[in-house]
Amino acid sequence: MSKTLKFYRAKLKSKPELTLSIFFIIVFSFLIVVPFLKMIHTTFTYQSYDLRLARGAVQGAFTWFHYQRVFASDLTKSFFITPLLNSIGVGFSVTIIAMILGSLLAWLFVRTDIPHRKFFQTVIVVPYMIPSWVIALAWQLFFQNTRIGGQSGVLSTFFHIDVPDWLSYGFVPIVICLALHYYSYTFLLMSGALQTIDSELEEAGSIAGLKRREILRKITFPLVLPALGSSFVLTVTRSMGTFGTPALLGLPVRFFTIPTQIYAMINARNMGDSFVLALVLIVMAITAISINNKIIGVRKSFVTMKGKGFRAKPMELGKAKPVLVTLLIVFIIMIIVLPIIMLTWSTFMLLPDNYSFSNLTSHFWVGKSDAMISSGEPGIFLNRGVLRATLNSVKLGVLASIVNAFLGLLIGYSVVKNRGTRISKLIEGVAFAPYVFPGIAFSAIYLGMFSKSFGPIPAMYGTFALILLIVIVKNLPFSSRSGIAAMLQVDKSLEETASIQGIPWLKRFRLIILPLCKSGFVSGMLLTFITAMRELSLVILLVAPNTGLLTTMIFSYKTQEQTQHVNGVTLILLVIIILANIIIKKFANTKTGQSINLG
Amino acid sequence: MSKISLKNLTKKYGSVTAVNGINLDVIEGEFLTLLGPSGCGKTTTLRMIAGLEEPTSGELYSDKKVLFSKEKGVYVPPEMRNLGFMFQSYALWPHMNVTRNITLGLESKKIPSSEIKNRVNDVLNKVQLNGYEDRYPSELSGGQQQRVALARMVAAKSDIFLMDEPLSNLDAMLRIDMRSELKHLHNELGATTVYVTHDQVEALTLSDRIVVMNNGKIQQCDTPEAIYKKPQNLFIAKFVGSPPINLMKGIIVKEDNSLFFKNEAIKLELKGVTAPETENSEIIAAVRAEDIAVSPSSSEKQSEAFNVYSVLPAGSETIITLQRGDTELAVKLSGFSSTKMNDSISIKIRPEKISFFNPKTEELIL
Ligand SMILES: Nc1ncnc2c1ncn2[C@@H]1O[C@H](COP(=O)(O)OP(=O)(O)OP(=O)(O)O)[C@@H](O)[C@H]1O
Ligand SMILES: [Mg+2]
Repeated sequence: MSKTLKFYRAKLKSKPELTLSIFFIIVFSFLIVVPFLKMIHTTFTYQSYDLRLARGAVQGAFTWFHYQRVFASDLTKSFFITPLLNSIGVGFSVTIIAMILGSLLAWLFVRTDIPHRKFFQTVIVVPYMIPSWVIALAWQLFFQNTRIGGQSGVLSTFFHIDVPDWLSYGFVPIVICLALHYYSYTFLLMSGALQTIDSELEEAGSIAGLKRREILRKITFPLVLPALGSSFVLTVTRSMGTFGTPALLGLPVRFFTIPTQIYAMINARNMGDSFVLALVLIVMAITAISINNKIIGVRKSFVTMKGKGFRAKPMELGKAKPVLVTLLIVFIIMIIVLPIIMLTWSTFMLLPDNYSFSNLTSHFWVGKSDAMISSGEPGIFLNRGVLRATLNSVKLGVLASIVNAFLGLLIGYSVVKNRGTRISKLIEGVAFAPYVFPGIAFSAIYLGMFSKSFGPIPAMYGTFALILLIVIVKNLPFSSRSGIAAMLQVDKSLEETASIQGIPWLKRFRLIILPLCKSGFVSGMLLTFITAMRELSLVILLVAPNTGLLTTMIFSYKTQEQTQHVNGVTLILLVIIILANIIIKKFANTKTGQSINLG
Repeated sequence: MSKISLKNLTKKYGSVTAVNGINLDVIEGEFLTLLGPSGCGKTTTLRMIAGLEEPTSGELYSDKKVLFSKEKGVYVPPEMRNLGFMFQSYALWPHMNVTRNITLGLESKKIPSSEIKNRVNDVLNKVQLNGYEDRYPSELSGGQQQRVALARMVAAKSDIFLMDEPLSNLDAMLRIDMRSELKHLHNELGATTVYVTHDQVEALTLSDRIVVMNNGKIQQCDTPEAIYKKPQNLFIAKFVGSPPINLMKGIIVKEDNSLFFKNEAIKLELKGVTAPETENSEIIAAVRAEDIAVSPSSSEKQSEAFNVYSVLPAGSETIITLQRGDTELAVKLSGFSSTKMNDSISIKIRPEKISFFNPKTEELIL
């Protein structure tokens, strides 16, 4: 017995991937599995909120109460059916538009002789970097009408157009704004896939006598199918689960999607019902992912196939070229340039709906507190709250991206080194789980779990540490994927030969693995930084006055109808994200979104 | 004295048994080759010796010290085994130059830097790569990379070298050069070497002893000469040697107090050999191509005339294939031959050059 023990001790000591795996299993059960179980447990027990609704309810006792209320009661329609249909409607409409748009653009840039390719490509992925709800803010500036409240937008003030309600709020603007963000995901994945397809495969097809359309259908399409599958899952799950845009453009007209419904319930402290809805969202996401895996699963290997890169002879656009270029420029102006100009302009307007030059002011940037304007909020550059939020956001982004990049690499290491074992699959699976958790519900759980001291962890209510923790955990799916992808690129003999030469593990990791994974490491960092900076629903419940972030600040200005501050702070957020992008790319030669692939 | 001992070593991957209960003693200072077809478990065996793969069961010793034994509760990690390993892919660190590739491991061994400097010079001399110190692996040819890997292994001065098909990525000419360099190096350093290859010529030319493996088991462990001349079973006979050994089905008959091996094409008197007493039952006779002599006419009574099916001259030798009925024979003649296709030829085989195998068990019959 003690011999066996001795053996396993020696083995554990010499195999860091085993030690790491055990560490991850413990940490993940604590930070991912337990919260999930707590969420399920909550749905099956009476909460304090329920006590005045259900006669004789005892807090903590088992009950089907919440399921009954959500799925089979008078409230079902407003609690469940309508938000579900809205979410599905939004999700699928966004996905269809975004995928068509993204694929066409990818095709245009990878496969044709479009001029200024590099420039256009850089600009076209800007929506990927900025939060999806920024476009929604800009939308409001244009299309708001006075009927619903708030200020009126450019169209009604300036052009005296009576903007119909369906165009200023609800389904249509939500779909359009989200599609204009999510096309960038399909674009990135599809350009990646199209670039790696060896053009010789298609040439072989044409030599074999296939017509152009047949080549597309029989050769190209199957080869890009995995990328399309990933884009589909990514877009559908994210657009159904997103919070910011439906909150901005839906809540004023009581247009609820599941995430905003969850938010409303949590705000009312109705945890039981909200978590039932969260589970609905989780089930839908898992369904989408597993259908994708079923259909595409085996073919995945296509994407990783190494091609020679660029196609030798791009398709000639001929006469269509000027038309397409014009369209492209118009598109870029409409979705990037104009929104940013509008946001900027609006921050210089004293009265939000007066577009005359006499109305211009720099008060919202550099003005001292004035009780007559914006309830006395000082201008953004003099505003301590904004300064603090900026520092907090940057601190969050930097810390999370460093921790996540390291964690991702270590997860990748233990998954790849243990490849084929159950432990490896378990770690990979659990690290991916936070992807399907709706942000608000996840943070509600964390709030409950960590507001008192829990196990060895002290009470973290209202602390920056709690925000950092949840952002790190929520980003694990992506950082672990990019970590695994990076580790797979490193031939295992490179580390083995070092271990045979007696080089200890830490040194091997530092001198061999880390340098060889550098580009994956950096792109993982950039990704985490961007997502951490634009995180809203995940942190909105967790911020305290002194831990506010730029995003939550924007949201609270929004609820106070302080349009100029909303837009000004949004601009600051955009500038930081874009600067970070430029800086990180200076350091490493990586592509944006290298690791958004779900596959 | 045995340097490395494998005792009943087994490795299973799920339901696949890659190595099946191997017992082997590697003698100090010898050059031992693991030879066998793809997938027979050579790499797995080597990696178990290095500690890169954990055996499912069995024990492993080096210098009488236990390296691995579940029963004894011992697991020595690769870092502590103090041996050299050369990968088929060379496993040079792409982000480090030649010098750094060599010195990184030495630093971990706490060797003083002056000594490290000397060793780098020394090994680069040995592999003739002076002047390449600052190059990165991607700036070297395949053969040069291979020599850097060799230098890196040699520099550590361990007394056991493990090599997994180190020459298989090189082109044919370079491979032959490197063979003699490896042999020279082994002679000079005297390190115990376990070498994996599926190339039987490489095994024959380099080894003190060859271990032929198949399906995760050792078929035979012997000197190259014994493996070549007295293969213990048909698998080995067929696997080693080029052209492949000639196999003839036939029976043993007794006529006038002499034994004969006989089939439709050939009748061979087995004079002076202790021929197997398996009269009138099927048997397989095996004979190497170079042990067959030919004469143009059918003057000898040993065989009927064979038809020449093909003539393949290769400079120093010519391989001709002969056919009669179902019997096909390859014959190796030295230099160029005047034999022409479709000639009629008869052959002569010295009986002591023949090995007999049992067709059912495929084992050698003494
Ligand atoms: N990690 C692994 N998982 C599952 N099976 C494996 C693994 N490694 C090896 N095998 C199997 O074990 C058997 C032996 O493999 P091994 O690599 O030792 O063969 P080999 O003799 O080195 O062959 P080659 O000459 O092709 O290199 C093969 O059937 C192989 O498929
Ligand atoms: Mg092998």
